[in-house]
Amino acid sequence: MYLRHFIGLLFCLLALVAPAQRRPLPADHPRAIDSTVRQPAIYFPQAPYPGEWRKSLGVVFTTTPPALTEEVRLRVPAVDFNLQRGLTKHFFLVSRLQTQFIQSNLSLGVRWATPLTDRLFLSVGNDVHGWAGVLKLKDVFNSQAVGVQNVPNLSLGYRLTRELQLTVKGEAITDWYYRSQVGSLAIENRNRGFNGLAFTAVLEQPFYGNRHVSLGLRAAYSNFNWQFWSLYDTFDRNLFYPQLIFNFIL
Amino acid sequence: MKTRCYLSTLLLLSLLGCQRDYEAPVPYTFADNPGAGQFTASVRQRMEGVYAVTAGNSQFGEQVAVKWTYGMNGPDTTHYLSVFTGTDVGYFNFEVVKADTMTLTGYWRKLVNTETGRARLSVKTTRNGQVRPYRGQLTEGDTLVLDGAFSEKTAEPSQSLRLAYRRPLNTEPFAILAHRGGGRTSDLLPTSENSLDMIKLASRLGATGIEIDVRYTKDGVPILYHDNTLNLRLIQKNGLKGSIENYTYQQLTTLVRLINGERIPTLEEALETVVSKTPLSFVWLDTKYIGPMDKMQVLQQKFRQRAAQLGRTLQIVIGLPTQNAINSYKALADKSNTPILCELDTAITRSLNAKIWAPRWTLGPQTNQVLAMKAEGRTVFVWTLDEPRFIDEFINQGQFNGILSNYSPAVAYYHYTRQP
Amino acid sequence: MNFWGRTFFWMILTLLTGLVATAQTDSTVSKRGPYTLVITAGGGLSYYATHLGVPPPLEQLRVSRFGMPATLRVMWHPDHRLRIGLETGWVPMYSYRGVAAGKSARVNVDAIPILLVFSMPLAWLSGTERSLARRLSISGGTGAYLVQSRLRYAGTVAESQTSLGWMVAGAYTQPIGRYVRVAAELKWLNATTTEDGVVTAQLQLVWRAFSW
Repeated sequence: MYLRHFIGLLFCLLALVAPAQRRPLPADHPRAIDSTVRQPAIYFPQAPYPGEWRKSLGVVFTTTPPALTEEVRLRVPAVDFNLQRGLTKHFFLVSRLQTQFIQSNLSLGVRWATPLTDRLFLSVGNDVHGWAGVLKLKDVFNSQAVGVQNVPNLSLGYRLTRELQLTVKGEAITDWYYRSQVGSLAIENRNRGFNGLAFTAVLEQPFYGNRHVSLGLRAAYSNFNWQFWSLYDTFDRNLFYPQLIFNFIL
Repeated sequence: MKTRCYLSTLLLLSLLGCQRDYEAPVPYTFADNPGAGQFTASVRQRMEGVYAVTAGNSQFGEQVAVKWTYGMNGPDTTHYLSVFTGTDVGYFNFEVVKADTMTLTGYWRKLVNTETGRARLSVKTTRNGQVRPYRGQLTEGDTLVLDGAFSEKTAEPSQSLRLAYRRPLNTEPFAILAHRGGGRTSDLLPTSENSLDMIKLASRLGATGIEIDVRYTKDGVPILYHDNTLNLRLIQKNGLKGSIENYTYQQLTTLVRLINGERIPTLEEALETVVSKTPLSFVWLDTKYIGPMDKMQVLQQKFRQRAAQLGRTLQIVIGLPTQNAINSYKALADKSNTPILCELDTAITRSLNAKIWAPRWTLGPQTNQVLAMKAEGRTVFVWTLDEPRFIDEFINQGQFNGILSNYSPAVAYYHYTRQP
Repeated sequence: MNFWGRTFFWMILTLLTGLVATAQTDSTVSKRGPYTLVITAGGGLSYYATHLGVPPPLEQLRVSRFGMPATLRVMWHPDHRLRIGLETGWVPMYSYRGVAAGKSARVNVDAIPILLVFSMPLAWLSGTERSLARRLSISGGTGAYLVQSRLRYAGTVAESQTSLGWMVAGAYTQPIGRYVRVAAELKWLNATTTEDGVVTAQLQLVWRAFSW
């Protein structure tokens, strides 16, 4: 089922690629796009200039899965901060911090990006996520948990116009480590293996003045989601975690 | 270009698939015949124990706990055999179909996912590698063996399943309490949570007692229902929304059906089912509503007396999870013969002189407080613990008298296989 | 998300990507427009497109899936393509009536959406160019629906529930004056918690109320 959605997204891009297979437009054409020019972006698979920093700050809302939260249905917000640094023409470092204060997720990774045509761009990368949560509430919680996940990823970006960039990203989530403690008792898991998949579609464009934004949707289908560690999910099945991403590119 | 756009759309439509609906239909239809055939009381007692899984262990683990239970229907008693595995909260349920054989048929299920299938077992003995049918007597050197087969889903059982008796079950007293009458609707059990059918299923899932959620309808009828509102987690879609306490009993019983088609039961129906149809020995009435406690107290006392008249050992306690519930309890004119359970801290539990303290499992083992409460003659349960590895830790490292869980097969497995 | 919701979503997405690829104008225009507050109001016809559950004992059943919805939207149009705003309105969902245990029963369900909406024209407005893509836009919103039910059976119960939800829409806008436009909008509204999905076709008045 999840692959169908990803294939569907790819078909959308194919519908765009078809015209892009024509020869690139001449440089003086009003719709010509110079693939070496970089627009402000975080998700778009094009490396920043070597030594250049890119950052964005915003919020990500995650809808709680009914299997875990039952009657309570919420969109849980997290502060979302991205930081990237160009290394070479193609390689760049990426990091992302998502925090809800009682729990946070920090990821570090590297991407390799290249243009395929004047409008179509590709990147592959691998991120390592470390997350931790502490919940201490009188007569309710004396719990904490930490975990490490590895997330290889692939992104396809399409420059619709000079300023409008669409990125589709696929991620594979694997669990490397998990430790959960309640009071003085703790359990640990190592190498739990494949956890699930996530697909993200993001539009990056100017919003007002020179301020650019990333606006996107991420659909994760995974057995475990770090944000919900304190609900102690025992279902051995993938649950659907839709997310809305909105970041200001700084 | 436009042609490609339209073609892409058509291709997308053809790719659209249904959202996967998780289902775990029981692949076996129980006959529920009364009696136990050749499985007399002494045979049943001899069969209970911890068994090594010598065939089928890749699916069900290295050992299992085997336990008989029963259900009542008027004068008839039907006996069922449960097998609790330590893998994925797996369990087997068997029944006696043919009264003249030592064969049991039934199904298995893993509660953490939707894996299920059919199974059958025959009782045999082995001695020096030789397998013989079991005739009801064991001589020295004989080992009891449950030999049979299992399958996936509705297929005929063909994969070898063999259990070899190892030792008796752990007999230390321990309360295995099943949440919401037996388990959650979301675990895809054959019946809905807080339903009469779920209460009848609870002991076959390993429970010695249950917890049920009590609310009142608009016209003051105590019913079983967990959530605050009518919602699609618990009821079939019918357009009705909002707080269940704003609907009358007639409206609910006529127009509302739980997910698996059942009516919402009244508390009276539920307690009658426990007393007359199950071997359960403990009922925890979780006070989910805000309001007077008189009607719940009347039913609690009525069915405690009824159980006593029938010679049943049955505790019925009113659970106090919030300060509002405590206030309702304190407002009762006569608190005698009204056993209570307190979920708040030890100081409040002592001030109410509650005989049972029930803290959350997310606070950890709290060994010092638990031992102190037990030293005062109180019972301590912990709730609602489902993570199987933590169930193992709490049973082996903790000092509790019982665990409330959605996964009573897992609690049963870890308790019965525990060695001192 | 049910089959029709997914179909609608993917159709909009494919059309967006296909049509944007053929956009005749580019966004890099030297003269930017002002910021504008735009108010949209309209109504039309709705159809309840998802599974409609009815209590099993009901006999002589009559069901209605059609209704007349209304939309009120306030959007901020900055000097680029992406617009943001809020939408509310009235979405009639369904009603059914029948007889159970000798008494008549009637249930009505409707919703008030409260959504944060993003929208984009499919092509950037520039000058007096008369491209069709300029007049087409897509919108997507997320937020909540206040879903209300009214039961008349052995008494009356009017209750409501807040459901998470989302919306996708496509619209064609035709200017009829300097500040006023008229729009035709096709929209899918989805209340996820209560598993309700409604498709609406509406005619709307779009008023460019205030610019700065």
